[in-house]
Amino acid sequence: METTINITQTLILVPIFGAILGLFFRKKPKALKGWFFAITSLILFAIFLNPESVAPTTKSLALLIALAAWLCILARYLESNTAFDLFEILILMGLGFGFLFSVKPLNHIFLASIFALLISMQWRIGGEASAPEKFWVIGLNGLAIILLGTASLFSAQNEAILLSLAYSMLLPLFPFHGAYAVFLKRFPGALPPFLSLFLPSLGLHGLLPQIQMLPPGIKHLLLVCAISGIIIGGLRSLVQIRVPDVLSQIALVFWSVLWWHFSRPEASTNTALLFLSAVALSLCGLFLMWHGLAARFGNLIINQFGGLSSAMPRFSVLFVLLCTAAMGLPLFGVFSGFIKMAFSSTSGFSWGLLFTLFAWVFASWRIPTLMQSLLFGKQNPQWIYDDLGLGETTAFSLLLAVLFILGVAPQTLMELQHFPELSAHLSATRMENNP
Amino acid sequence: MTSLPHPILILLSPLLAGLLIPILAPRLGEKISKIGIIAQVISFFLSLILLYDVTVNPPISIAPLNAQDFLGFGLYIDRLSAVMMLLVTGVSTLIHVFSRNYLHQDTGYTRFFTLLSLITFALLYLVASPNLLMLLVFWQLISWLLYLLLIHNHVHQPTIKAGFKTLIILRIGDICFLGGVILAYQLYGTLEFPHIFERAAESTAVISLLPGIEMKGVTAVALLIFVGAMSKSAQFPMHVWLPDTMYGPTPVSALMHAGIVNAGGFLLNRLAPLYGLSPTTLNLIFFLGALTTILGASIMLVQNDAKKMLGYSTVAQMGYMIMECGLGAFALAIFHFIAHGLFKASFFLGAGSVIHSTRIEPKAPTAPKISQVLSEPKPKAPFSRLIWLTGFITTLILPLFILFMAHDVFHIPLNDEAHGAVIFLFFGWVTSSQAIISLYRMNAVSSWKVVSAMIGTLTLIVFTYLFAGELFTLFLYPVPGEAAFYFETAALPAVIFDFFVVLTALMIISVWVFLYAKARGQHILMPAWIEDLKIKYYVRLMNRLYIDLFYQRCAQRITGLAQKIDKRYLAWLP
Repeated sequence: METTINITQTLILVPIFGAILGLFFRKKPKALKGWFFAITSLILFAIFLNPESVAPTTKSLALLIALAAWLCILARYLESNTAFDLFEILILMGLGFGFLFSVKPLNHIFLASIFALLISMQWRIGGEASAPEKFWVIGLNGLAIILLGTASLFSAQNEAILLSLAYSMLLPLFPFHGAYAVFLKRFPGALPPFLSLFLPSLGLHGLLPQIQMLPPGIKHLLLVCAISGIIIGGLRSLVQIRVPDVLSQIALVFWSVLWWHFSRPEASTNTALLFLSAVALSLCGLFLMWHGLAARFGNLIINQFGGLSSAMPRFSVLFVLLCTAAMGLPLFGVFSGFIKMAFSSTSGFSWGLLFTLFAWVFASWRIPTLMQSLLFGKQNPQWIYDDLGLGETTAFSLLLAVLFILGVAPQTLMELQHFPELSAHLSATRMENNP
Repeated sequence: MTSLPHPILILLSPLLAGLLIPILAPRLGEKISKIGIIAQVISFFLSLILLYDVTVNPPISIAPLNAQDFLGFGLYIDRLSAVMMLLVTGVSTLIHVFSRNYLHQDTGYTRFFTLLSLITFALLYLVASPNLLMLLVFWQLISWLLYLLLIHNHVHQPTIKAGFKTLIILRIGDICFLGGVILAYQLYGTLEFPHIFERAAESTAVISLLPGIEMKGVTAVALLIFVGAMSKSAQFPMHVWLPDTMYGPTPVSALMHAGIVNAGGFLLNRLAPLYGLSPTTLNLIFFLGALTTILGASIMLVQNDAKKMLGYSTVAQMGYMIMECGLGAFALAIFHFIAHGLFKASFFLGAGSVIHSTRIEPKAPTAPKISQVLSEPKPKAPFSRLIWLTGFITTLILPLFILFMAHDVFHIPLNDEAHGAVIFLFFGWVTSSQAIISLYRMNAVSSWKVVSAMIGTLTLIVFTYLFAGELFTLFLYPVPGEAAFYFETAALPAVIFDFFVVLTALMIISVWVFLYAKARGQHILMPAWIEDLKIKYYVRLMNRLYIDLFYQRCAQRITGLAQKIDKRYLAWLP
């Protein structure tokens, strides 16, 4: 027990102290990137080699967050300005580990700190966000802090409802997804790719103990919100003209599919974890790719791009593969996660399942059109094209490798429930229902 | 179970080529095409050995290496798989060899050969999949790889547009297939082929999405999976992608028309025992196939773009193939698409050299100017009574001839309730009539050569169909009574079947009457309303029944709705 506390405390403190020490290099972006890369590599290594100390789900989520931070730092395109976002990533990671590894009420304090930090970050870059967007961020994050602080005053079931509402700001659920969408659209540098994974991972961690305690009426409501999220997010993604706007709507669609899973009695931790890991990594990768483009050419609208396939071949190949993964095509993790979710149902073919299939239609529509707009067509003769560097190429290749392993061998990677057992369970259930 | 490595090598060979080509391309340049060609040749010869192996031995089943994961990469190869593997590797080898020169100095040379090898691997795995999930996995990968191949020339906007249209229609089919697989798993608790068939036969499950409306579970599964087959095999109303894909490179067209569009027919054959449990689905398949054939052939006749004509020709042929499946003649469908695939592949691969020869041949006739055509009097086509009579008699006496051969020589029982034998004979008759009418249109001159060609065609088609009907069915479905069971399940009500046969017979006779009158310069008097109808339908068919336009409008409506939601109703929500 003593060892556990030491390791988890170290995992909380190392990123925060690492960020503070990084202030010494704040004028030297290259050195700063190197320092932060070393810190995140150390953390990743520590979590990877520490199998016994924490619950498997928590360990997987911590590993996922550390991996995202590592990838974001490695693939961060160095501009002339300071890498302010990297400090935020480390601090958020430290606080996130605090939420993952501690127990009530300390974990709620860590989470409230994260919400508060996000509000303050939004305040600092407020010039870029519109007034309604500021309202959403401050309103929703403020509400989440209040819910975290007051939930314990109510009965167990009501506490579960209130906490689930607070976590729906992290793992986006329509109509509480506003703050998440604003972070992805407005935050600078490598923060959107990191937050696209970080927040839903924390949301899942918080939600898992609550979900079984929710009354059936609330679960029906969750189903309605999830289906609305799929339809509205999918439709809105079709008409967005900026890449982050498209991706934030696609994110809502995929997270709504996860909420659909939670609305069902047979929701499983392992399945949810697999789906979340795959979707979060795909989104993180797409946002990172966009960060690379925006850093090179500016925050342009989609139609201003074109012809990248000839000018940036490395970028194009990796982007096509990432789109393949994000669209839910095999042999990548999003497909496997969804299949596992769909197969775990014992309630037969339902409207909910039918609507989740729409998520695939929207993804298959919007992601390829986005890909086509960026990669195909003619090049802009006035632009100087600069293909991915070594760090970026390594980061995206590793990301794809992880998505591939999640796709073809999730059992090996995540110690998931064995497939035939599920089959046996389903058969037994059916026999009970139809003697 | 077998210890022979060749089934695995057949698959690994194109996969390795697909992985090695991009790695070695910077060093080898255009020589990398040789890696692809060698890999395909190895796969082809091993497929030949495999076909022999599964013909004399039981099917080969290879357990997955990663049995603990649900995407278990095992193999199941029976006669159907082996035949398909031979077709895929054969066509792919030819396409690889052809592409080597065709894409000379193309900027996407490496990408093209990589994708070509990978899609060959995906096709091979598709036909050797041990369960429905792996079949779905490779089914979806083929959609994506085909899209990437079609947009080879990615600076050309119409190519990109056609590629996207293809992708979205194939993905809709894929997602319905996915729905069918999920439902099958929920109903039967397994996705392994033999177990699904067993449990589906035992199951009495019904599903209900709306109160009061129930459907047999097996019918729902079969229908959802059939939508997947419809998309790949370009069946009405999901056929619109195929005629637009001609912007892709010629080898891709050849691969698509010879291999990929046949995936639907393969899927129906692979799941024949499941479809055999659902007469409703089989009847629907028959009607959709028939509709696709009629529409495809009609639209083809009035197109003024040669490429679109080719596309609609394939649509019609695919409809024909699906129609055969709908009648329970699964083996016949396989035979049909192998023949069609080889024919179309040679057609596409040969088209380039014909165009090239025409360009370099100084004596080649040039197209006359429109003013010239209008001013010059049209020479009267010489009427050949000999040719006409040969065609007319052979197509009319053909049924009797076939009946005689089938009944007295081959001893096929013709009095079965399922019309199995009649179906074979009917298809033989229709096909030969179609071929002979085409020959007559092309050679309206009196010549014994043409007569010989007509009779040769007739004999070839009749015996081919009888061969397909007897030997190929026996080869693919060796279990006694299995093929007959499918015919019985698919049997249409006698009135509908007879109506269909009579209608087709009347159509063939009408064509001969029309050709006779036309050749003699005579005019058949028709009521005015029929003339009006002819004009109306001509315009509609030329505009492809406005189906493309309808889809375009639907997409615009959806986007319009999305705009409204985004800008008007939910502008306040990020």
